[in-house]
Amino acid sequence: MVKFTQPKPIVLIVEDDPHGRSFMESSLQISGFEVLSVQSAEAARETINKVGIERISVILSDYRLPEQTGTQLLERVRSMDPCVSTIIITGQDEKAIVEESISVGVFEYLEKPVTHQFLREVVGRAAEETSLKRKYQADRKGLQELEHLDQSMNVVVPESLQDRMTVFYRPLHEVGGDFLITHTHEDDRHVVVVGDVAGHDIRSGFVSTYFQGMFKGSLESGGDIEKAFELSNRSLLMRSVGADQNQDLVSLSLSAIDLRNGDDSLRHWNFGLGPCVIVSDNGLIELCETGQFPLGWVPEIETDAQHINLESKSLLYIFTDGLADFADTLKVNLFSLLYRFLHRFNESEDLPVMPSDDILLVRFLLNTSMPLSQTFEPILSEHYAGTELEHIDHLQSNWRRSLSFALDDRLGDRLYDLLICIREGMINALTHGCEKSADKFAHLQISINEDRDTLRIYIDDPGKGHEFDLVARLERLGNERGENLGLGIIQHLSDSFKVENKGTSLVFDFSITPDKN
Amino acid sequence: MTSDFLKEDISALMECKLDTRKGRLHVEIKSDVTSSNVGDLRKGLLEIFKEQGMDDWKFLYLDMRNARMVDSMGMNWLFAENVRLSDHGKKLVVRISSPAIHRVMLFTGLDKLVTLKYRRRKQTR
Repeated sequence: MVKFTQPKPIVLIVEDDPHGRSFMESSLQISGFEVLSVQSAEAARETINKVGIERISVILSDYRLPEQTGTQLLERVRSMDPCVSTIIITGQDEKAIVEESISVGVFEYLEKPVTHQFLREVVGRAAEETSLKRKYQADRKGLQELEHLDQSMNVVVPESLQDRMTVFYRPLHEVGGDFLITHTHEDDRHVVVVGDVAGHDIRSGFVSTYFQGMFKGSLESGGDIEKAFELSNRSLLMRSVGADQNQDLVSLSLSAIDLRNGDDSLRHWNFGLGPCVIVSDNGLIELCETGQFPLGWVPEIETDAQHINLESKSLLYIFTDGLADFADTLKVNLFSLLYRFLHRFNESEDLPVMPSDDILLVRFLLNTSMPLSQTFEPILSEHYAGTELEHIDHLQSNWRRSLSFALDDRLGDRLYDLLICIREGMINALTHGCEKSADKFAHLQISINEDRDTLRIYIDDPGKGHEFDLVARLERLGNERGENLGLGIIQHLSDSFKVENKGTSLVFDFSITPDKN
Repeated sequence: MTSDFLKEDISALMECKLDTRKGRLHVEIKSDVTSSNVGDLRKGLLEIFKEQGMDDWKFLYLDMRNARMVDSMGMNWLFAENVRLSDHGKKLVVRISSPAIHRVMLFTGLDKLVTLKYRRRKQTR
C-alpha cells in the first residue's frame, strides 16, 4: 500500500470495459487510493463537476471510449486544471496514440495488459506530481500577493517628496531585500534611507521587512536615526550569534541622508553600500565617501554623519549594489544603466539578460530652484590609470557601448564625433597628465542636460598642466597640423570647448540632437 | 619580418589593386585609422609600394569608406603619406563616407592638399 500523509488522493478511472474497470478499481483501492470510476467521457465530466477538479489527483482513462478518445477528454481536463496528472491506457504498439498523448501533456501512458504493481507505482507518482504542482501554484499565488504588498510598501515616495525624488525598484523575486524608507518631519526635514539586506533570496525580503519596521517606527516616534543604526546593528549581531556555520551572517548595507530645507549641507551615513553620487549644477560627478562596514558585522559602529556641502549641487543618487553588478553583466557603465532605468524604464524589460540581484536606485533633487529637466544627469564616469593608454581601443568600445545603451540612436552620426573627441582628450590625459603611469589616474565624466540638449564631457588628469595659453594656441592652429592637433579636433568638433586648471581639465559640450551640423 | 607574415597582416588591414590602364593604385583600408594602427598602416602601405612598384601608377586611391573615425595620429599619417607621394610625383585621392571623418579632414585642411571624395553613408557598425 502507498502511504500518504494527507487524505487519500482521489483517482478517477474512465474505462468502458467492465472487466478492466473493475480490475483497476480494486488494484488502486488496495493501494490506498480513493477511487471513482465511470464508463464514458460524459460520465467523467459529470463526476468532475460534482466532486470538483481541485480534489481529484489523477485521471486514468482508456484511449478508446464510446463518444470520444481518451486524449480528447484529458486535454479538456488539463485545460480546467493544468496541475492534475492524467494517464492514458492504450493497446500494444500504438505509437501514434502515445505521441498524441504526449502532445496533450499526459503524465504517463500504460499499455494493456496493465499489472497491479505497475499501475500502483505509476498512479502513486502521478498523485505525488499533482500534489507538488498544486503546492507550487499555491506558493506562487501567495508570493504574487506579497509582491503587490512589497511594491506598495517597500519603496513609497510620500506626496511631499514627489517633485524631488524618483525611484526605480526591481526586486529579483516577488519580494526584495532592498528597501527605501522616507520620513518627513514638520514638512521641512527629510530623512531618506536606502537599505540592502545581504542575500538574493526571499529570506532577505523578510529580513528587510523587519528592519523597515524598525526604522519607520523609530523615525515616526521622533527617535534619532543614529539610534536606529545602533539598534539595527545590535539586533543583527544578536541574531547572528550561534547561527548555522554554513550560512553567512545576516547583514544590512545602508545609506541614509538627513536634509533640512534651506540648510547649506546635508548629513549622510553609509554602512557598506556603494558611495552615493552628487552631481553639481554644471554636470560634475562626485562620489561621496565609501563609508563603514555593513550593519551586523562589527559590534561598534561610528554614527557621526558626513556633512555634504550643497552649494551648486543639483542631484544626489543612492543605489544598491545590484545596479553595479548588472552594469558589469551588460558591460556598460553604471551611470548609463542608471540613466536608462530612470528614463526608459519600459524598454529595460527588453534587456538581453536579467539582473541577478535586487536593484533599487533613488534620485533626489537637491536644488529645488532648478527643475529636474535643467539639471545635468550622469551617464558615464570612469577613472583610468595611465597604463590604460595601450587599451585605448577597448576603452573606446566601452564608451560607445555605454553611450548607445543610455541614449539609443539619439546622437546619430555625431556619436563618432564624440568618440573621436573623447579619444583625443583621454590620449592627452593618459600620456601627458598621467605619464602612462599605473598609479596616476585620469577621470572621464559624461553628463546630459535634456533642456539644453547638451552632453557635457569632463576629462581631468593629475598632471601639472602648462603655462602657455592653450586655447590661443588652438586658435592659431587653424587649418594646419601641429602638436596640439588632437585638442584642435576636439575644439572643432564640439559645440563648446574649455580648458581649465592649466590644461589639466578639458570641458566640452555636444548637442544631442542629430544632424545639427 | 618575413614577407609572408607581413602579407597576412596586411590583408587584415588593407587590400590593393593596381589599374595600370588608368594609372591608379587602389588601396582599401578595412578599419578605423587611429593611433592604434597607424604604425601597421604605414608599414603595410610601404609593403604594397614594394610589391606593386612605383612605375605603373600615378594616383593612389585610398579607400577609407570602411572607417568610422580617424584621430589626430591617423591624420598625421595621411599628411605624411601625402608628402611622400608628392616627393615621388604621385597624387593622393581619399575616399570617405563618414561625416565624422569628413569634418576632421576639413578642419585639418587635408582637403586642400589631396583630392577628397566624400559620399555620406549611414554608419551601420
